[in-house]
Amino acid sequence: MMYSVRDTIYIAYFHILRSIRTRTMLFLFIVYLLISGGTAWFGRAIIHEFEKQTADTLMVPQTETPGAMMEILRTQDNFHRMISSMVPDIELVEWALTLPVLTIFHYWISLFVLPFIVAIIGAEMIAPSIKDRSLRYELLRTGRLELVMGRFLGQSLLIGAGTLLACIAPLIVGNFFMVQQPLFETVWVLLSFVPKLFIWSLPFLAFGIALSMITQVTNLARILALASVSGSWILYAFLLYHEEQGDYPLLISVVSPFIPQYYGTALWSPSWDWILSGCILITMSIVYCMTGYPLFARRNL
Amino acid sequence: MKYFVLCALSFFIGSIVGGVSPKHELQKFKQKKYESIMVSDKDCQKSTIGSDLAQIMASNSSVPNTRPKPSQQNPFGDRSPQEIEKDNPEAVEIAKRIDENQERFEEDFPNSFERSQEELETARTALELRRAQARAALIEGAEPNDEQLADIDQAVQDMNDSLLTLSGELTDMMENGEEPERRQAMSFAAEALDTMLTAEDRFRDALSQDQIDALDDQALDPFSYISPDIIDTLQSLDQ
Repeated sequence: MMYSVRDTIYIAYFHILRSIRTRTMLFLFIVYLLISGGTAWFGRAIIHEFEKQTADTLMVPQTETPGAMMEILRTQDNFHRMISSMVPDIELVEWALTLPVLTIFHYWISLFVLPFIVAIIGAEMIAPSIKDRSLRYELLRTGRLELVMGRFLGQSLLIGAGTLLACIAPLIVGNFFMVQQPLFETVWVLLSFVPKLFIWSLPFLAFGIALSMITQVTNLARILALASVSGSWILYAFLLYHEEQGDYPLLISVVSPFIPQYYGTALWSPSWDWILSGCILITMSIVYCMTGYPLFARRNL
Repeated sequence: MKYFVLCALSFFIGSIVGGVSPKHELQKFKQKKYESIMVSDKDCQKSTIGSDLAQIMASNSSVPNTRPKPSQQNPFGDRSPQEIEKDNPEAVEIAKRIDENQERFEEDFPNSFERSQEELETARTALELRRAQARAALIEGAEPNDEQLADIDQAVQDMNDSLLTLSGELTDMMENGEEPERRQAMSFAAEALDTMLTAEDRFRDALSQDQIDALDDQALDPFSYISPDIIDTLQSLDQ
C-alpha cells in the first residue's frame, strides 16, 4: 500500500518535471492566462458599453476607462431589487452584488470554459505514450494503476497552479484598465474562487484521462473528450428542463447525480456549503478516471 | 492505491445512492404540489365564486368604466344581489374584506406614494451615477494632481452644502404652509444659480487652461455634481 502511494507521488512529481522540461506547463499557464485575460477583457467591454450608454442617457461625458458607474450601481437598492426579480435566490444575489464585477465574470465564464480546456489536456495524458510505446519503460518500475493515478495527480496540481495564476489577469485588467476596482477585495475573492474552480475542473480532467486510456490516437481522444463535455452540458440542460416541468422524476433522480454540473451550481455559494459538493466532485473525478482503466489494464503495450 | 480508489468509489456510490431517495421524495412533493395546484385550478373553474365576486365588485367599483355600457344591463347578470348573496355568501364576504383592505390601504398610503418613492429612488440613483461618471471623466480628461482634486471635491462639497441649506429653507417654508412669493422664488433660484456658478469658477480656478481644454464641457457642469441628498430634502415636500 505504502509503496503504491509512494510510486503515485513519484509519477506525479516526474510528470510535473516533464511538463517543465517540455514546456507543456508553460503552454498550460499561457492558455490559462489568455483565457482569464480574455474573460476579464470581455467583462470590461460589456461594462464599458453599458456605462457609455448610461452616460449618454444621463447627459454626462463618457470615459475611456470604465468602472466608476458600476461600482456605484452595485451599492444601490433599486439595482439590487431589479437583479433580485430576475434571480430567484435573493441571498445569492445579495452576496453576488457585494463582489467586484470582474470576479463574477471570471468565475462564471471559467465555469463554462475550463471543462473543455481540461478535458483536452486530460486527453493527452496517456494516449501519446501508448502510441510511441514509451509507457512500457515507465511500467517496468511501477503498476498501471499507479501510473494513471500519478499522472492524474500531477496534472491536477498543474491545473491548480494554472487556476491560481489565472487570477493575475482580472487583477491586471481591473487595476490598470478600469477605475475604482477594490484591489484587496478583488484579490481575496479571486483567491476564494481558486479551490472551487480547481475542484470543478477535476471531473472533466478525469473524462479526458479515461478517454486517453481507451485509444492511442490522441486526436480521437481529444475529440471524444470535447464531445463528452458537450454531451454532459446538453444532458444537464435536458435534465434541468424536465425537472422544472416535473417530467421523469425517477430518471432525473437517478441520472443527475452522475453529471458534474449537478454539483457545480452548489459551488457558487457564500458559505462553506460547497465543501460537500466539492468532496463529491473529487471522488467523482477519481471514479471517472478509472472508467477507462479496465481496458487500459488489459491493453497489450 | 487500489484501496484509495475503492474508498473514492464507495464514497461516490454512497453519496449517489444516499441522495437518490431524498431527491426522489423531493421530486414527488414537487409533483404533488403541482398537481394540487392544477386540481384547485379546476375547482376554481367549476365554482362560480370568481364570477360572482367579480360581479359584486363591479357593482361596488368607484372607478369610472371608460368602456361604453351596453344599455341598461344588470351587473349581477340574471340574478339580483340578494340572490347572489344567497347562492354564494363566501363571495360577498371576500368582496367585503377586499373593500375593507383597500380602504385601509388608501388611508395608510396616499395614492401615488409608493410610485413617487420609487421615482425618487431612481432619481437619487441617477444623480449618484451622474456624479460618479462626471468625476471619473474629469479625472480621466484633466488628470488633476491630488491638490487640484481636493480643491474640486471641496468646491463640490460647498456647493452641495449650500444647495441643501437653500432647499431646506424652501422645504421649511412650504411645510409651514407658506407659498413662496414670486420675488422670493426668484431669489431662491438666483441664489442656487449663483452657488453653481461659484462652484464652476472654483473648478476652473483649480485647473490649468490646458487641463480645461482637454475636458468635455459637461465634466465641468456643476449640475453633474449635485448630491442625491437634495432629493431627500425635497422628498418631504412630496409627503
